[in-house]
Amino acid sequence: MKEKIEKNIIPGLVFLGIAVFFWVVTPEQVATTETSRFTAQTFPYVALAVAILCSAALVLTNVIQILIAWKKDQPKADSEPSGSKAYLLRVFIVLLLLILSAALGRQIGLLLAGLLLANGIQVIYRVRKPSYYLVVSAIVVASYFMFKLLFGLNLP
Amino acid sequence: METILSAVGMLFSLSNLIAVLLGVFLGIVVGAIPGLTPAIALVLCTPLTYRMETVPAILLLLSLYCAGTYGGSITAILIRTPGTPAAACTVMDGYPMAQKGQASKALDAALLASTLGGIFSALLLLICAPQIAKLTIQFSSVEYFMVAIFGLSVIVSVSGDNLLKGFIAAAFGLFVSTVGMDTQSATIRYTFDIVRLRSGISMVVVLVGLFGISEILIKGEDILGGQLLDKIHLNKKSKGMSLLEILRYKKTLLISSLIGTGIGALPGTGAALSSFLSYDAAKKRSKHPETFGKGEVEGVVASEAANNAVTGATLIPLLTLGVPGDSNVAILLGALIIHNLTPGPQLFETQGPIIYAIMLGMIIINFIMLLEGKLLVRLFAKVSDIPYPILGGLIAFFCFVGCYASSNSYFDIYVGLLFGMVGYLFRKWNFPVVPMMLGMVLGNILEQNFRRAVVMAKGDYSIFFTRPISLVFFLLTVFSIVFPLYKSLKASKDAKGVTETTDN
Repeated sequence: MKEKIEKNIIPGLVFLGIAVFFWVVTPEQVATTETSRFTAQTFPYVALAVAILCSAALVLTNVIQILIAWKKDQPKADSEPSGSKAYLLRVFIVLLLLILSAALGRQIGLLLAGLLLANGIQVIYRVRKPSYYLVVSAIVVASYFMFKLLFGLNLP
Repeated sequence: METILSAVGMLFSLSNLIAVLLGVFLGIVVGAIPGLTPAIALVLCTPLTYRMETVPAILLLLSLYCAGTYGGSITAILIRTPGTPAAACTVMDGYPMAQKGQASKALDAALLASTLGGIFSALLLLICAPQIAKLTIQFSSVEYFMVAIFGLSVIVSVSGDNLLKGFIAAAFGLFVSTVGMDTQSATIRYTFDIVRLRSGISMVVVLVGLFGISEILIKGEDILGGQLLDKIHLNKKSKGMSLLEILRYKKTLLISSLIGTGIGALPGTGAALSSFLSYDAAKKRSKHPETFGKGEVEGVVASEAANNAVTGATLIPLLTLGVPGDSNVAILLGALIIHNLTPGPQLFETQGPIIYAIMLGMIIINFIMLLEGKLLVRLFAKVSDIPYPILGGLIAFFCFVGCYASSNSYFDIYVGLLFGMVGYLFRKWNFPVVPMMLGMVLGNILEQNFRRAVVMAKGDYSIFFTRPISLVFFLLTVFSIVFPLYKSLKASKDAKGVTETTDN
């Protein structure tokens, strides 16, 4: 339960931070000369206000819940669940491959970048069967030419 | 009668059949590829129709449109990545069904519901297009705004356990919809001097990121975390669903088709909104609303019947008034004009047989979609047996192509990756993704119509409550928020009563 409560505080704070950031930059990022009551800034402000209020409410309710739980049974801080730091590293590896493939795409084209990406994911997923790599590569090549020639997509 | 008979004569020809068969096949394939929407297929195929006869040309494009709308559900069910924005709602129950080993059942439900929804709206198009057009022409910005507000009430249904999280997600969706150039004042918003952002953030790219790329990240984490590859299969073998079985949900089918037709007939609203609204209606009517979002077949039926009912209905304002309801129909409008069919009130008089042949063709298209879909579904269902490492690599590639194809730029791949990370964090933190899509779908409709309505009423807000249609939607909104609250209060009261009785 405690872990669940704490899990909501961090996202609440993150979304609160993002919403506040966009609220602060709105006058600069939405430079309007309109004089009417409803301008190009109004709707974003309303959306951000809802995000700020709800994020703050999420954090607050969870803080209150923690305080109540604390008062009741004085729980000790839970040890971090095993692997919670490791998962960030794992996701980072996959994400890095995605970004690398996107960045390389400009230089080597979408076909080679796609082959790198699809096979890179096999490597990250620790695939040992060569047939998997062959199947994936064949489908990527076939799909690329299908998109390009049959669907007429303008792929680099 | 004579017109309809000559339309029937025009309709049944080999060239029409080939056009429909090809269009439906391509539509399903394109719709099933995340990021490739029916609009892309329509743009690419319209030049092919220049030299074709009018009826097969328009039927080819309509087949792409109808089948593409259905095709989006396939990947939504199998790999949690909706092929089109209209299928975003189908993920909520379709994917959990596939995880429970009911992929074939979910795919069949989506196909049958799509077909029935499509036929329903095609029949309405045939029988009462002018009457529906007369009704929808009474919708001004005031009514559109209220429809969008009513759409927002769906957040309550699609937020899961924590309503606050649903509101946060929806608020960010609304906010994202404001990025780019404001169409009313031409003000640039939140572009941070990135020129590519001036045209806004594509809903397709957000969809690919939130669902497709986030899935790759989540699965990557699972597999690297030590889960065995063979355990990532979504499905073993599951039974499909027959027409008789789907007819058990006849009320849901009817209501969803009506919602889809109603929304589709309103220009500028779209299939995604209709599936959200009908999902909400089905959940509220259900005796077991708690099963929605956990693999309830009725959820798939509601969402798919509604989004395909939109396909016939969008032709109502197009053919009768010359007003395209969405981007797909805007392309169709171009194709109609190329083939010397200028939409408007005169069209039925000047080109009666051709128009009736096209409208009757919509029914045929849906039947062929059912036949081809049945064959393809067996094939697609096997996707869930493909080991995830193969599937993951291919999903990543399709996501890249889908993002790139939305505007032929690498920039959209980066935007897709950004929303992939957002989707990943949403899922890690148990935030519902669907309200964010809902916010994106409704953002533009809400803002633009509110501003127009206020200008129209010269700042008098009572206009939202004094116009009859607007008032009806306002009351529906209040009802759809209050009713679930009342229901849950009553349920908790009843549960309390049972506990007290047991204690005594």
